[in-house]
Amino acid sequence: MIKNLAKEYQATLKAFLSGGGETALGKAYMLGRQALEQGIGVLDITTVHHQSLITLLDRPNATASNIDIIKQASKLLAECLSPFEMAQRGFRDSIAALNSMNNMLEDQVAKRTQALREKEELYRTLIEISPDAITMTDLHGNVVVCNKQSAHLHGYTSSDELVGAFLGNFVAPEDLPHINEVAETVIQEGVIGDLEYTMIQKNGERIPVEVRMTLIRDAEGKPSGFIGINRNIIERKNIQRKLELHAQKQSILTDFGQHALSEMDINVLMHETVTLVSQTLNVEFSGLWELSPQKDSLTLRDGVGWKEETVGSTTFSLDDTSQARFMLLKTEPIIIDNLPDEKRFVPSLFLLEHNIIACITVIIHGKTQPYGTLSACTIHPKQFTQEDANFLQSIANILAMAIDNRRLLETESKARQRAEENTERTVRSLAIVSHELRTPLTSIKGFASTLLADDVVWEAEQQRDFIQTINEEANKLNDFIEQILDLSKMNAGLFKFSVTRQTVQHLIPVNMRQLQGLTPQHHLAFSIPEALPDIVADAQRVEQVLANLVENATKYVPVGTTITISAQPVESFIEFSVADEGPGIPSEERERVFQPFYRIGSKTSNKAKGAGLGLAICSRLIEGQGGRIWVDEHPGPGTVIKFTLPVASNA
Amino acid sequence: MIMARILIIEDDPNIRKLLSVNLVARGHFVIEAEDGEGGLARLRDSSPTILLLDIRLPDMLGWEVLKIMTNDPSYHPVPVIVITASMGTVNPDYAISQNRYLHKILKKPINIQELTQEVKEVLN
Repeated sequence: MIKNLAKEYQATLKAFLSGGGETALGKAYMLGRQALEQGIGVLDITTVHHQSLITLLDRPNATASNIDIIKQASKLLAECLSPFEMAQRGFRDSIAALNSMNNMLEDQVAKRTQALREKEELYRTLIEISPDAITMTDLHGNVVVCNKQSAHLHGYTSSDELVGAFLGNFVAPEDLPHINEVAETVIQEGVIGDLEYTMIQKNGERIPVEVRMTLIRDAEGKPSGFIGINRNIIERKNIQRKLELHAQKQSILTDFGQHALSEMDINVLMHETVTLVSQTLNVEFSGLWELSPQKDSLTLRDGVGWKEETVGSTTFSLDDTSQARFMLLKTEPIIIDNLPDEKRFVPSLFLLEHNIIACITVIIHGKTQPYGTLSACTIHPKQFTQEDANFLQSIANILAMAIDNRRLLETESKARQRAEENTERTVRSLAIVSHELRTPLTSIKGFASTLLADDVVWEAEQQRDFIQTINEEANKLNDFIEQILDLSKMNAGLFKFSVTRQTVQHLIPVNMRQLQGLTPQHHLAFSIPEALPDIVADAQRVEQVLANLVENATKYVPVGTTITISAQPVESFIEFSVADEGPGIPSEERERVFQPFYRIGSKTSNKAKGAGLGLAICSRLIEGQGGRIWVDEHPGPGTVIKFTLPVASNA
Repeated sequence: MIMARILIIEDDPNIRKLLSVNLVARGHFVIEAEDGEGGLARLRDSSPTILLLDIRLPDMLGWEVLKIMTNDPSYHPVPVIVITASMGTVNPDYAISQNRYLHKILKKPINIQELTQEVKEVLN
């Protein structure tokens, strides 16, 4: 009952408020009376009244004018009630309560307005202090609101300048389709769109940015625009690019390292090195300078960009103040930012002639000594980084390893070749030794068995001849074995010389008879000046050498010709010579005749006689006494073999 | 006993003498040469029935003499016994299989009995 009444009263009041005028108020009054008659107190009515008012005020569209009307309504209510209820105690209280309630409401409204203002301020501050660029646009992309960061990012100084601008003008053309596509998705699906694109600033500069895009809606929930949060990602991109470049260089180094292992031609590898350096470090010039074996200069061995014909022929001396020397003395990479202004050394004229401004140089460290240097140079101002230096050094290290490997291989292959030659010579020597042993042995064994044969009876004279032959061949065999033993001893350094002071004038005549015995069919001539200085020699060995040389001559020269032995002082030696009038020794064989088992013309036939040990032994005998022996180069026919022996000191 | 005309091509005089006296004592007729060129000349003008051939000759290798005798139609080929001190890398069986006139290769020092036996075999 009370509830219904209160509801009715509330409706009436509402009607009054919405312009029902006095009638409504009158109805309210009637209802008030009814309520009183039914025993509902005034206080109860005012309570209902208040509750109604509060309900009204709680509506979001409560305005100051509404409040005024309510105030008025309350006042009217009070006036209406006054004739009947004035007397009633508590009515005033009710009015007071009503007023206090009104005050409270007013206060509440004021507080709410303040809170709204504060909230707005907070949002503005948040937007302004955000490090990101925040931009609000309409659905077409025209800027409605933006913060300072957004203005700056787009190339303006204040936000006002950007407001109204079409954001599509700040997107690189190639990125427009994508950004439109994302915006469409954001509208259709109400999702947040993230993407990266290239922004073109007001001054035309391109910068990489990322944006997070979200949709905004009006009061009715319809899409009304976008909020975009942009961020400049150039730093991130730079780091990313750096990392990519680093990875790329690592991969280049790996590939190069592997390639260096397989590329056998060092010249090819060097050219690939300089090409790689100029390409990877993006410079016009690269060079590989090789240190000379005397370590006194650097030569441009290979390079890219240098003037024609300078590669391979340009040499740099290592003077005290020279750039080349400075480079070689430093163990770490050298970075030069401005070559013409360089104070640490005198800049290389060669580099200045090529207009080089910046360069970077590292040493190619060989296993035992620097192989040279590797450089990258440019005519543009450029700051080479430590990473460039490390890269170049890595390339140089790989190259150095490859060079070392190649040299080891070369040394090893030479050693192997020598060993093979030695083996071949040994095998050949053994074949000769075997032949030289078997030949006399054939006669010895043959004649022995001939004498023993029981199917033939030999005459005494024949028997004597056979035995003589056996004896002769046994001597040959013995001589040969002696020679072999001598040579082995000489090769092992076990051969003993008994060296004493000798007079040449005395030495030669002593040998004359023996020598003449060796040359029954040749003329023997001597040309020994008087008053030659004494020599230090082993007389017996000198005799052996002379005998061998003369005997050799008789083997090869025509009967009846002259063999001349002469001596003359040359510096601190006496030079002896044995000259014949034979066919001579071809010049290409003159060196090799002193090798054991070497016989002139032996390649084609067996024209040579003996085992080929005579000259080998002579050479060791002379060298053992401090002299040397050689086939003299001389015009005309005949062979001249010369040897020297040291002159005795006067002390 | 069959008598043969035997040409000896051998540069060492004492070995030449050794072969010669033994073969003569056994009834053969011996012609001697001390190098390849002389040997080939005797081969042409002395009509030997057997050739005893040394390998290391002053002017050429015995193998060359063998080759010329075999391939040059102006020579009348005869059975050959090679006598050598240096076989080197030559495989005797292979060498014999390559030339139908090469009968035997004897290595120095040779056995005189073996030599006379081989000569006998060739003649049979």
